[in-house]
Amino acid sequence: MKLIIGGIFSGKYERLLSLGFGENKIADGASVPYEEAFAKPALYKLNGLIRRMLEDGKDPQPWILEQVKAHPEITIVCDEVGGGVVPIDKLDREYREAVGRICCEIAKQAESVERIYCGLVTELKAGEKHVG
Amino acid sequence: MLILIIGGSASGKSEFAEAVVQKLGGNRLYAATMQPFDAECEKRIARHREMRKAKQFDTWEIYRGLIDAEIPVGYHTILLECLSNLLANEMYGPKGWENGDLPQRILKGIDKLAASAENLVIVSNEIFQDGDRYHPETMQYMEFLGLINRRIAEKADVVVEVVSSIPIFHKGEIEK
Repeated sequence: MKLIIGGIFSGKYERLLSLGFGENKIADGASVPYEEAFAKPALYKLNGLIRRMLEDGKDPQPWILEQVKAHPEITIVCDEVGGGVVPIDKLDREYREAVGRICCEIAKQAESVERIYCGLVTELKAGEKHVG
Repeated sequence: MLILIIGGSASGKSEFAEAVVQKLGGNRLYAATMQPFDAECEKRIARHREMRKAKQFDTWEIYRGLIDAEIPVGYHTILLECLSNLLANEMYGPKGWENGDLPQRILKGIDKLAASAENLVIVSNEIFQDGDRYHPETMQYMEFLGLINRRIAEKADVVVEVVSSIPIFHKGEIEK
């Protein structure tokens, strides 16, 4: 499993394309039905999925981590959204919190973590596959 | 050489950019994009003017319309500061942003600028790490700036992020 993070508009979608994922290989977390979110080789905008689950009154973390475990070959892309001042709105706070925590967990499980800055890749965690 | 320098507000990116330009040597042009609207702008401009005084820059004020502008020639290095102001001035200027491809228009203007000197140093802003809960028009501005930053980064020889006055090189290097 691979995690790609970065600020918004930093070029993460273009990174997916350059890694060889065609548009039909990418699910968009902002709009994909929940049951199809992990059905494609790549999930883009994990934070969009998290946002929708919270708005629907669901707890995103257990389900998403379960799905990630069940799809060990997937590439997941998520915006970094935790850089600002604590939001006034409660849902916005829960959203930031959930996105951050879920990314921490996914990063622990991932074989590879990259961060995109201005379209340029920094490798944060590299390469070895977990055995057993 | 094309150098892109990005940083948050008050990160020291201007000072770093000016130091880079000095290192490059030769005569230098400062392409200033900040339109003075109020006392706060004027204060900021005065601060930058003071910093540049000792560094022997000529100043050229270019708030928008780089693509059609007559660019001063004969300079070894041009410092464009900054892209985020230029984009804002374009978006909220007479031509607006809903008609035509504004990012493309700006990028073509930058190509023109790059072709008119040995070196072009561009300063831009880091505004992408504070989440996505913004007004749609602000999001549009962010999308444009992100795109322009990336397209310049692709072509650039050097891409630097400045944090607390310390440079982090994402692409290329500048010799000390």
